[in-house]
Amino acid sequence: MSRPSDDPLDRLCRLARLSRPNLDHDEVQRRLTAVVNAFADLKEVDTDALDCDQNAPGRLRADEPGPVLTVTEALANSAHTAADCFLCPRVVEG
Amino acid sequence: MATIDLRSATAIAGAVHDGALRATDVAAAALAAISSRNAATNAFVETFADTAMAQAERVDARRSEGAASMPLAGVPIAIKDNLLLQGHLAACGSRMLMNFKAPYTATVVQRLLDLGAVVVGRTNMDEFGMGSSTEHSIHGSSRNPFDTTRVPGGSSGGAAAAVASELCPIALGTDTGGSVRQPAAMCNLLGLKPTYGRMSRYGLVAYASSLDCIGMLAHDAEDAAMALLSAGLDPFDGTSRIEAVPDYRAALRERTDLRSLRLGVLDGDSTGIEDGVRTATDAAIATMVELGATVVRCSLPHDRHAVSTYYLLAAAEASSNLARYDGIRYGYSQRGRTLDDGYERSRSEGFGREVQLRILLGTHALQAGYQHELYGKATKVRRLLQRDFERAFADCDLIVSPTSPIVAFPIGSKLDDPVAMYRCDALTVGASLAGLPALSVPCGFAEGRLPIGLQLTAPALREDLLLQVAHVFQQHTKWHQQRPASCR
Repeated sequence: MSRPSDDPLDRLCRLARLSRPNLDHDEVQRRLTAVVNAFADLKEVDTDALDCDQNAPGRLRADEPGPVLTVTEALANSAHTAADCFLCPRVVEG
Repeated sequence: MATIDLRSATAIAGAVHDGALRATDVAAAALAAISSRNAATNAFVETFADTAMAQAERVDARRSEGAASMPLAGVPIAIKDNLLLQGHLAACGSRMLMNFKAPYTATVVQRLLDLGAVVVGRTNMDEFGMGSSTEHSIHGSSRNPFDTTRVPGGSSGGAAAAVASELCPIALGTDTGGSVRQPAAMCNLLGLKPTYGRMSRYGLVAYASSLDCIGMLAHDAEDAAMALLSAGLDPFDGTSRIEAVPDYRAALRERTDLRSLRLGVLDGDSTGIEDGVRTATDAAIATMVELGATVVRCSLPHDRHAVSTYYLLAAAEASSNLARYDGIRYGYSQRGRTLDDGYERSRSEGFGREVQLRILLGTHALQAGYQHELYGKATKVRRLLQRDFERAFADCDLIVSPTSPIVAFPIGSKLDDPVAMYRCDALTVGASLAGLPALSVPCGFAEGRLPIGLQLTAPALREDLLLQVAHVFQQHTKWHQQRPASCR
């Protein structure tokens, strides 16, 4: 088995479940670097005094169960189905 | 068929209500207009002809039966390609969802249908809402009706082009960081992003859930107020607000001038704002002062970090939200040798370049070792910005600024510079991060032909004030009456 690459972009692609071969490595690296560098200004903001990191404004109601899709509706947009199930490649050998 | 003016929803609803027009005639006129003129802007990606005519027939039947009042009787509306109408495609501008049929209807769309509206089709957008130009779409670029060599803004650029081209009077868009307001500004429309949670997100395909809002584009405040009748609590959206929805149309009649209104004008760096935009904005503020408003200087100390904060949070949420597209349950699917291989092939071929870039950026911001430094920091800066707005609104009623620092730019001119594209949103992302309502109203033209918008931002749930002020401004200016050459 080949060792996973140490390239940071390879690692990101694995985490994001995106295929490296479909991305122009240098271009993506250049763009990501440009964006991340542009965001360096956040480091200078003093947030030590904040006692919370709440980010969603407004009030939220309690979770409540509600209606869900039927099996037929849930399967309707899948490319591969059989016997009321989604089809996917074998995960466990044997 | 007699020509029907598709510019004013208020006029159409009144005529249908009075029996001067039939909803079926209006729907047919809208569909014919789209068929003959859509190619100029690529605003619509599909019309729902059969469904629309059936909806219109129901409106006519309800009216003839003396059914309860339908405030939007026969009004043709467009919905962005990320809003669900049961049984119809909703592709989000993406190959990933090219064949996705909505299993249910979005709450906001259903409410408008119940009020008598007719959904004539879906409009183009940047893929999953990620863009400011409507160039990142599987359906191709949309074009600005005022200059078809230029973008209409984005990501609701198709919606803006549809209304500006007078193919329908109201379009629903979505605004995560400015995606209703910025295209409204670039296409000479009024675009409203309500308070976060004011409009149900049920049936809106998620991009960044703590920021996503459904908004509307129209020519004037009256029509926007009409579309806002779809606001209010929805048990299917846990983040929807419980507060009662006021009669926004009645609120428009409560003000004839701007006396006692305190307009907050921001101190700070205005670098990057084009001269023409600055001049038009200053003139609009002067008009508001003539109408009785007073100007108050105010500041948002953390606003200069808003773009960085927004793009980190939005990308992080997008990387999480878009993880659901695995090629198994729905969406573009490529079989792989293994489950992981199938995931990767489906996602890499199904998502466009900009979406993949943002997923990678969001994944970077959330990965171990960076989560505290990037995502965690951004959530805290967001809180600081929210506090800035709270403090500013102690001294003013509204904050006024340009909507976009620049006018509509040539198609293709910013595609290779994501940072420059992101900076276009510098003036709109603040209200998004704070969850506040904001609108863009037409306030001038650059070079005599490129529209400019004025942004008004209000405290939470004060859409009534935003619409009142925009209405008064529109009663005393004629910018919103300027039409693209193709419509004259």
